[in-house]
Amino acid sequence: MKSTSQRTHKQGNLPAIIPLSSLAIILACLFYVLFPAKFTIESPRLGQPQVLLPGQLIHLKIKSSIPFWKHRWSISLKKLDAANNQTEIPLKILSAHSFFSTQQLSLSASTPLQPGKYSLLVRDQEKLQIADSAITIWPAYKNDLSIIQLADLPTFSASGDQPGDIQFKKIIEEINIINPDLVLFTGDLVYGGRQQQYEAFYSYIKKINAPVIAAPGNHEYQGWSSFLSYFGQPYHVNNIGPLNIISINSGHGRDQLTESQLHWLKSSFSQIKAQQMQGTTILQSHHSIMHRPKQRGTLKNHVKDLINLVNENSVAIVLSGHWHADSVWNNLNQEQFSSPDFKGTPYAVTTSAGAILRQKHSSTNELFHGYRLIRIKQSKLLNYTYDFDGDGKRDASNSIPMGELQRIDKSPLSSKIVNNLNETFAAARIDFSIAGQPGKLQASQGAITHQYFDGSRTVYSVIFNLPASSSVQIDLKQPSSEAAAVTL
Amino acid sequence: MISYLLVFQFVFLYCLSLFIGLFVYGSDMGSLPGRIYAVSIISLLLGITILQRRFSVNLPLWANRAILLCGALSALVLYKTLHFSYWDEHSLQQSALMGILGLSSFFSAIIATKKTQHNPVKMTLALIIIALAWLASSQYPMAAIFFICVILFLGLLDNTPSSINLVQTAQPQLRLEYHCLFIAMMDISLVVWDYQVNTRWGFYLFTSLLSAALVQFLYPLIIHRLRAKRIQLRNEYFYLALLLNFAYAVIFNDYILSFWHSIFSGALLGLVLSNLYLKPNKKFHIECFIISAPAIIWALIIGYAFYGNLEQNQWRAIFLLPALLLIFKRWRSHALTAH
Repeated sequence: MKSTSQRTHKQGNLPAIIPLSSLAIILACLFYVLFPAKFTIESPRLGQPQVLLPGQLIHLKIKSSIPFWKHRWSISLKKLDAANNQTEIPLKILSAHSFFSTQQLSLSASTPLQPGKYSLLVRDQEKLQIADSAITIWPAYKNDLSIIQLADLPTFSASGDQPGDIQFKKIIEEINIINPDLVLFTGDLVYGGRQQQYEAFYSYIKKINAPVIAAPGNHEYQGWSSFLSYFGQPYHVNNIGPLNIISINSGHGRDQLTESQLHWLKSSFSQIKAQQMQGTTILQSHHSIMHRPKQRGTLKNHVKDLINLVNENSVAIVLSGHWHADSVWNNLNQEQFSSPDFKGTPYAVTTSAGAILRQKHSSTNELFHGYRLIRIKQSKLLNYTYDFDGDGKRDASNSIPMGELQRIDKSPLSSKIVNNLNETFAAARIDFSIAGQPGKLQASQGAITHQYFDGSRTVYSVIFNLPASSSVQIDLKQPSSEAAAVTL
Repeated sequence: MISYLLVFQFVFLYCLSLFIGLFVYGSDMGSLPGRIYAVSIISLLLGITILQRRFSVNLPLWANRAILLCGALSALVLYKTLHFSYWDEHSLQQSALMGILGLSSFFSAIIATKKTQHNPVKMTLALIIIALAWLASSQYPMAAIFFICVILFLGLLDNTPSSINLVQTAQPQLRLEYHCLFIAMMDISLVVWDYQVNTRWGFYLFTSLLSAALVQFLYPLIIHRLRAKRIQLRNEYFYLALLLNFAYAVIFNDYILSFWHSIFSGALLGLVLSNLYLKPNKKFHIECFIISAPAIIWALIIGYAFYGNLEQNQWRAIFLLPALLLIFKRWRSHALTAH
């Protein structure tokens, strides 16, 4: 047994070694963990895009893996519906604020931005991060808008050839034909939660022409890390001129809305109020605020708070999913059966866009997979339901059934659009992709609003009127002054 | 100082990180990674139960170092993937490393309890460093795991002999303290459930542990002064305050987001820690704190799994019942003794 003096002597030697060894260990661990320095784009991104006018500043939020690290940013935009060899548009950093690991940059383009969709490319020397479809440029903000909302999607696979994938690709084709100004995804986007499924979903929604805003549902918690990696912050506000889309995360657990999120919601509404006098606010929450008996969780506990907030802030409509059936409620928790037009904010639950249907939650006898089309006119809600029975009056709660809009390609230059819906789409759109560079063409219906050569094919976008219950044949041909047919 | 860090890292870093990982970011418990989490937790609890049966072993230095190195390397490799990414509930590698880290972290804490002498200053400093881990977590959610890594590496520098020897937890005079520790840990982690992926909870946890550090440092001084003035302040009053603080938070959820809540919760946690250390017979019993880990693990995991399915979150107040009963029993026995 060592004597006290021996122990003290041995312990006395330690203090000299410990600080140096400790420092060496800590530095080695830090070096191993932190380098190489990485960063990630927090916003804007697909699911939380910025919709801007030419000349407006782009606000970028980046998170760094090393606090206070001096990144050497080189930031640019790349237009999506543009030639492949088109150069990137560099962005100039006008101001930069950093707090610990987060940097907020204000950017402007060196050349005027054309209307369209852009991906954001952020470089720090050799490292590159791309935020797909992060920015959309509009020529002007609109008081008349059309918005499509979907929830409870089909199940995707890694291979991309399963029924769910095929069904969803058809949905995207329909959405692109309708050509809305905005697309909202209201939760339960990916069932199963595997990273490959998220990858598949992400690749599909990149093909939607309109800006996409996503909110999570309870099924996102099956792959929460994947959802966060692809879509970032689960609750957010998107300000699009006079339009504000608030997406909340009710999927925590099930039917849950935590105190902090309620506080965030209140402050978001206050900020919206402070910024503008007139505008439209839409709230999307996967779980409905309204409830039938046996509703669970803190969403139920906060029903009064939420209804008060919605009333005080004149929210145009509250959109939900989760029930896999159509249902509409008023702010007195009364289910609507006769008419979609009533005083106060409608709380619309939209049927599933592919997941299993549930009759018991439906307000109607009709049960189908569908999506909701919301029209805003002069910043006010115009309509949000569909006339399913064709009696000339919009139903109390029905959304639009899927599969009633089809595109039949007869040739590369000729397509027939069949509209079996009781709904007219005044600015429908289809794209023709033709090999080579046929040059200037004319559409037999509507007008070609945009064309570009992507390196091997020329894409022509045709906007046309698509009446209800009709079909439209669109052929591309040379302008009438040049009568020769287009040869491929 | 290192031994104090080793003692505290298991409960305040590992257990809380596991809770945050599983409840904020999730785990598919039906998959192989999920089963590894379940097996790791059950192994920990079984290990504690077995070790309590008067089991004593003297560890050679190399065994102690092996445990520390294993844990430190697991934490380092694990954190490399977690630093700038998210907890991945489907990752087999992550769950295996988290399991290995848990066992290493626990045994390192137990071994370290034998090397600690009662030193309020060092204990306070250790708690402050632990609190700083959560401040870092407000920027990088899993930063606490990196702190565990560094602490376990630092443990390698200690050359003193080791042993594993736990006292029985079934000491009647400490049951109330264990229940209060259970409630205190639930209380300080309420804010994590609320904020979820918004890592503001890191700052709240930092405040709570800082508050705990300060109280456990000042408590013996205050008690000494009060006793010098012949003022008797019974611990049951503080325990009741702890229960009331928790009850208020579950009934009025707004209070969870108040910094006063995190300060009071931390202070009352510090009080419970002080009493655990100083009992019985004023002997230093820091290993009692580690043995209460089952209570902490159950508090964090089972309590929140239960909460996640509650219709009315005020039902969490039901967890107060055992502690209330024990306070009542203790008061009664004191009253009878006084007579």
